[in-house]
Amino acid sequence: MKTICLDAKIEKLAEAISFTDEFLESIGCPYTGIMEWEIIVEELFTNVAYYAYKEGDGRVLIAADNTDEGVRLCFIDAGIEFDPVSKEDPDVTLQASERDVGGLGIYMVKKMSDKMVYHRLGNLNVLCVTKKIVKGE
Amino acid sequence: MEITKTLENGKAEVKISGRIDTVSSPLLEQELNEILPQTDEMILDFADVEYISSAGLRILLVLTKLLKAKDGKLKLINVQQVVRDVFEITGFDNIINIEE
Repeated sequence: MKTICLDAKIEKLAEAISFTDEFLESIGCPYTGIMEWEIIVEELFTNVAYYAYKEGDGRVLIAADNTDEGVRLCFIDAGIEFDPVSKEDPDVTLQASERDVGGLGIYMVKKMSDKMVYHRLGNLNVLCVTKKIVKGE
Repeated sequence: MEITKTLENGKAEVKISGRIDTVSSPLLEQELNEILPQTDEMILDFADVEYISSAGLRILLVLTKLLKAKDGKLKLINVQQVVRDVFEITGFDNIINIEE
């Protein structure tokens, strides 16, 4: 398992993505898989950066692991309680005029991953996303 | 991200290169807003767009709404497969004209 702890600020998004890229490359993840993981990391990291800490600064720990179920990334923060898994999906069949501008980030993560699990542990949000790597994509 | 744009007789062509993400999307939004009032038809060339996140999708949705409100048109051309996949997941392939 590899971990990185970053300030929950948009300026640190590039580091979060670099960390993810390095881990995925180290285990031979193909290009298309890396692109999807980058989207997943961006969506989840920006959610923490924008919404988790209403006052003051905060940090987010990202833990990457290669498990029997696939690559698993966990995001751990001490921000306000938020369970993205229970968030209602947007209706992606609506026409443009009917669609809300927001709400797509978590939906994209759900669709691009095999599993998304949330736990509230004490004062911590723990969100783990798992996705199998398909070699030769 | 780099953006080059032309505008002539209400027709705008915008070529975007690089990633449309949380960091770069404000620039894209600003560039599009500059030409939108004079635009009836907009073509976005995505040949060199290698990545799009929800931040980019938000901009495209707002752009679609604004153009539709004045009976304008939007078309995306040369969309790479990795970006097409995102459009399909989010249903954007049904609300935006994406040239095959």
